[in-house]
Amino acid sequence: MNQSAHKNRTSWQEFRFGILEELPLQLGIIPFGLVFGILGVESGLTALQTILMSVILFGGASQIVFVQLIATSTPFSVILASVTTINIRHSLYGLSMATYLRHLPLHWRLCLAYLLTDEAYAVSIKRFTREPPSPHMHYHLLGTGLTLYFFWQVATISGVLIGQTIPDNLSLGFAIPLTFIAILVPMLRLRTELIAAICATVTVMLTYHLPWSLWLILAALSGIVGGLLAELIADRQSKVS
Amino acid sequence: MSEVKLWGLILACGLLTFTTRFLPLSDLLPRQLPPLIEQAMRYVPVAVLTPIIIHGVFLPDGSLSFSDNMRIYAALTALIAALITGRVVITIIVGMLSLWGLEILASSLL
Repeated sequence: MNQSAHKNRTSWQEFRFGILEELPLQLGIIPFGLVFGILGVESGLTALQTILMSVILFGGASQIVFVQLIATSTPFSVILASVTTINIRHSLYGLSMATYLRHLPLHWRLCLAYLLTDEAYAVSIKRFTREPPSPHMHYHLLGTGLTLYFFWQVATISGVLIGQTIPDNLSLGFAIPLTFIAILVPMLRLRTELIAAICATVTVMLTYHLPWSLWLILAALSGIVGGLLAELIADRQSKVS
Repeated sequence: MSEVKLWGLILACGLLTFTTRFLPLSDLLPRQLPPLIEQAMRYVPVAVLTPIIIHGVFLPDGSLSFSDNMRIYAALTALIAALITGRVVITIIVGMLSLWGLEILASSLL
């Protein structure tokens, strides 16, 4: 698509593109939400608590850790620390989108922040950074975010209600890494991104046993630093030669 | 555990999570980030999504598992499907079917 076609996109078109681009991922989100619904009830939470946690928290990975820790009677302070450490990656998402969203009025930023998740971020950041800008770009994130929100709630409720009828040898949890493989792999373009991925991988292997699920933010930071350093070194070499 | 305390915990987790999401978009941060930070932000998608993938494939039960871990092969198959097709739906289906196929194969051989 050419430059002017993007520039003239209406808010409705951006919103619709967001929804359409987010829809395929729901194939992975539905099993993910089902797994959470099942685990929630199994952990001893009530149906209402499990469902409202999806509504309030809206962060799959942290919700799964939450119910796993509740099931093993972990102290509340540790649960709070774990959920926060897992979710601190959202600040990185916000930072990387700040350029595109900071000019918006407060109610827009509050709403988009609430909807900012891995899967919405991954789809919309591609649109923000890889396609020409438009004045209504933020509607794209609204589209991806609301789509995910809707399916996450439906999947959680389904997991709570009919979860017991789903056989547990289906390994539905595997849909989570698969979803991220499906988003990430086609996005990778640069050699420095590969270096970032390797740094992050090594860090997971070295830190997975640390408390509060610290591995995630540590691996993310090491990936960012690794990728950036590789880029700076490559830039310097190309200037020297 | 008391019902009220648990609701309090859920709300507190929700509030802190929202804070992690909103803080970078709030007015506490400068509108224009330093150029080096801007440059670093390009690596956020790969740096955050890779660990989630690696954890889900190699550490499904919280401890590293290499031998008899069919998820590794299923993930590699999905990776190839993603490289060739670039399609989300195909990648997820190929990965899921590979895992089920490999698990059936492994259990029938043992």
